[in-house]
Amino acid sequence: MTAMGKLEKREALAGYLFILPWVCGFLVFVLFSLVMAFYTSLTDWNLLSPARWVGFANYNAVLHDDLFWKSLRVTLIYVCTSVPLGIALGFSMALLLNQKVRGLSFWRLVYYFPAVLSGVAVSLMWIWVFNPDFGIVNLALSLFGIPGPGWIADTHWALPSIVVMSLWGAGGGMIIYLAGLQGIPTELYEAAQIDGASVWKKFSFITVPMMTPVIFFNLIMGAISGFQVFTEAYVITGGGPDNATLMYGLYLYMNAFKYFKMGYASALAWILFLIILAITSLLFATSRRWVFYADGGDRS
Amino acid sequence: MTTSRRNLLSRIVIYGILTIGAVIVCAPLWWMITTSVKPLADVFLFPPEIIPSRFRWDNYADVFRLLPFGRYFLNTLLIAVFAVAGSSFSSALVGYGFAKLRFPGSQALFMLMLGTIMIPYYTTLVPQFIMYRTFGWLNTYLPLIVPSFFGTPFYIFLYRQFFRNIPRDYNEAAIIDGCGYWRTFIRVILPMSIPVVNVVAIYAFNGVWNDFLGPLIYINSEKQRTIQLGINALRGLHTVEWGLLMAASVIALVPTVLIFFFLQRKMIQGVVVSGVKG
Repeated sequence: MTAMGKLEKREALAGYLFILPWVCGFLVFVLFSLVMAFYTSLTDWNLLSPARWVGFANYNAVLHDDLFWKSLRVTLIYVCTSVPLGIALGFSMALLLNQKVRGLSFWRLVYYFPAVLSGVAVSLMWIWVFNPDFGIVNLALSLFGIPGPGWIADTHWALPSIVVMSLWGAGGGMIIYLAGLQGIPTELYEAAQIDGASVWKKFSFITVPMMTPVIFFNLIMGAISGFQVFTEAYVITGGGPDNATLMYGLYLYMNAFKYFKMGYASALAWILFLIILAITSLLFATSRRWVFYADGGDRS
Repeated sequence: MTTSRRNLLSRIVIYGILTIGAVIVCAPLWWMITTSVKPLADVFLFPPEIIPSRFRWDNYADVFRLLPFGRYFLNTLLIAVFAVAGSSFSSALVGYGFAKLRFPGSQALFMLMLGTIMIPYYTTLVPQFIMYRTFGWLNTYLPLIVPSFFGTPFYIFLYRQFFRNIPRDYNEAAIIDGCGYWRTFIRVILPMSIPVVNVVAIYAFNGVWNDFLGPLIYINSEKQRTIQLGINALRGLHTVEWGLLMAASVIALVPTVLIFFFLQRKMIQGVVVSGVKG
């Protein structure tokens, strides 16, 4: 052990004291909770009678539970559509706004605004917007002579409706992309101009590579939060019709707080954790191939 | 000549797309707001009225008459005051520790902290519920407030990014002058960091105000409902009275909207700091 000077020791002690709130929170809310969740997942427990040890029976039951597979499928479809579409939409809007448009702060305000709104109020708004007979979406479609579907009341359209809702908030990503675009050094474009590069070449060889770290950040955060969608599913559809929007979080909530199957819900919780861990690891593994770090790989 | 014509054309296309996009973005809000002032009979007109022909402002008064929304507002505000203060301050402490103080294991602990962002809220939900139940905290606001005093990884990250850009000299000068680390943090660093404190406070407020799952699990008594539980309850009672429901939704969104319009520049700054430099 290297001897630390008195000042260094004091600084280190202060450092530990400053991060102490997080360390305590980590020990209780993360480490202890993860262990307890795992322990609970090995029991049969309805909160009223004492927990009964069942080993891995809950995990076995989960794997044979049609609703688990249904909810996993629904959630995966949701994540795999809403996240890439949200990135594409946000990125396109940022590209448009980066074309030296007038009134930039106005457009930015309008597009960003929906991203800050959330909660039950927004979900209620969408129920009414998607109302098949009296809603504004089908009214707008009817102006073009298109008969609108039943949206949230229709088994096939309910999940796409929730994806559309999520895209309404794509302006949140747009703000980040716009700032990223404005941070790309103009010398790069000037050099390409001298070399006679076309607009498309500049876009695909400068803009996109320079933006990949930002896109990657949004991809990771979007995937993590996409797996945890709750309010929309609970308020708008309650998981229906016919479980078409049974999001994983909703199914877990129902098991824990409606059926009081704490062990089963904990098994679902651990499986969700492992899925998210696997997906983020996979994304990080592929990132070496496509994410470009201009500063040579310092990812702090 | 041709380039300027092409230029004009591309301008028209750009502004055209931007305008159509803005209309699409605003349409749901327009629909919510106009419905909120329609009498019930006009809500179910076919074809629907885009601009209301009759106004019934009493929808808003009815919201407060049917359920004590004033009380729900205050309840949520009470949680918000403590939770916002708690997470803004505790996250600042931790962020400062990670950004400015050297101690063994600091890098590894910081990475561990970022890693916890990957842990879904649901994974620790059941043990936390059981813990609060053991403490006798169900039907109190404590489960919604206390965890915020232990730092929030995302806010800690924001603070750390900001503190790192404050020159070390400030820190060292203060410490050599005999200020302890604590006083340096309170007297020197924190006053320089008001912009990031604001950003974190705004995020934290919006988070508390719009949280639905937390109150849904921990609050059962009608008197203690938060604003989100309140609208959800109203919807359970008046399923088809959309004028009323939209009025309640507008009311619930007012604080977020006010904050947005007054502080949007700061919010945008915060998004940029977290997203681009991350």
